[in-house]
Amino acid sequence: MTDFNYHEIDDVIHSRIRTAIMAVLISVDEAEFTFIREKINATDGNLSVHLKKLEEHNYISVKKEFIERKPVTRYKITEIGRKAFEDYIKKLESIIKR
Amino acid sequence: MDTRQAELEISVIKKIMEDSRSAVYDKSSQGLFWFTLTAATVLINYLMAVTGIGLNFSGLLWAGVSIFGTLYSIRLAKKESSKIKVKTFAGKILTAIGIATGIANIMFAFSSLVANAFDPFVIVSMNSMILGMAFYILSVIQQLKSFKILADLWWAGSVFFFFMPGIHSLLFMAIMLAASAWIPWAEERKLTKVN
Amino acid sequence: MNELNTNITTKAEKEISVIKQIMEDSRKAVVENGWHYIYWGSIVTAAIIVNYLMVIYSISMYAQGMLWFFSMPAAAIVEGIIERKREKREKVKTFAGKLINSLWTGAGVCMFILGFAGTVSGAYSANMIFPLISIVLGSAYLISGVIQQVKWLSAISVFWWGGAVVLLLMPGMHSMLIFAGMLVCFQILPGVFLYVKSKRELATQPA
Repeated sequence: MTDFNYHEIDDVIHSRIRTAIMAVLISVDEAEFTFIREKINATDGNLSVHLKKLEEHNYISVKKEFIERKPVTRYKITEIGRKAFEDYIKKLESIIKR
Repeated sequence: MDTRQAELEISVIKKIMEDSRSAVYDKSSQGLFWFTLTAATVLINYLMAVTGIGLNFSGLLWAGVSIFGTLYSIRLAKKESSKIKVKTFAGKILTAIGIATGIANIMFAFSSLVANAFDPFVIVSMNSMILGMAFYILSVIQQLKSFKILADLWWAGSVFFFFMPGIHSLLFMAIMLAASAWIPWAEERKLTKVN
Repeated sequence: MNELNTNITTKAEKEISVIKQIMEDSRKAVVENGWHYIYWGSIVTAAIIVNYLMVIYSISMYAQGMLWFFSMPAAAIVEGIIERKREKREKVKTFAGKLINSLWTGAGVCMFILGFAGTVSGAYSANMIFPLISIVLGSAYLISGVIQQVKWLSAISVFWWGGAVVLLLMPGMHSMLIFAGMLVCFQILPGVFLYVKSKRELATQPA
């Protein structure tokens, strides 16, 4: 049996929707809420909850502005979030190579 | 988490990242607009030069087109900015390339027409040279061989017309500008269909 | 069954490669330690000073042309050798790194065309090379600053373009020296700043 320690998996990233959000944000500079929603096929409410959790852990930053009088929210991955996602990928890789 | 779960997760992550990254390719119509407008203007200028009709007004033609082009470009940028949902590193570089190339071309025109540094026909060689540089960088961003070919053609044309300046350089310019407008458009359509 | 498992694992490993490449491409690491700016700035400044002295001592135009014809390709070859050695030591190639290479290669081709095709064809006098190259350098710096996410590097383009206008409107033998001065201020000095910045950043990175 493996000596895999499940504590090593980052709980913040290890959720279907949060993993998908991080995958989107690491691939672009900055993305709007609607772009992320389209890419990962989530509902508004569900997506908001998961974005909030990532923001609380400083994995993403948020910027709110008005464009043509419409509120627009943009998200960006932080350096902490980038490092966390890279570590998560390394962890997945180690599981596969085991 | 077992191996199978990890593999599934990797597959999903890869797909999402590739899909998001495809937004890197600039979907703005600025390039298409400017290249098409300039190609048409160069062709008209060529016909003016060949027939001799209205050649005295070519300065006015370029001034008018430049003003119209700039105003329409600003309007287009405002319209498109409200639709752009994602900012990418490559997108910023594409904008910088557009601005840098535009300013360089204006300065080459200034060099000839105001500072009398060289004959106006040599402007074609200068513009071709800087467009070659732009497409060379684009070929790395977009990872498209057709862009590298365009870059080589622009540079070859530049060198050729240094040694053989004349009216027909305008025809070369018009053809190359049209190709530079529509080849990227066709590549982007191909990419959209694949995705 | 074992073969199927191996195939699936190989597929996953390939997918991990793709993921890592995308992550690497999106990284905005400082790619330039400034040595290219210092290298080329110094070599071209030296060549300009030699050319200026050749003009003062009335050495033939042919000899002046040969100075550039041999020195610039030689400098490019030496740079290529140094770069190849450096690339072998690099652990990873970034998208930004590739872009910087393509930018300065493209700019180099333009400057080569201006320096040789333009003058040999008689399209303009030799003095005009300096303002025309300044225009190309202005464009290159603007793009370079955006790639490297260093705003002041983009701002240098304004000085190159401004310098080009001055050289166009006031041509003469002194253009050479003005251009050499521009190289020191807008190429070598920025290169030194970038070098110091990159050393500082390397010092703060974990081993």
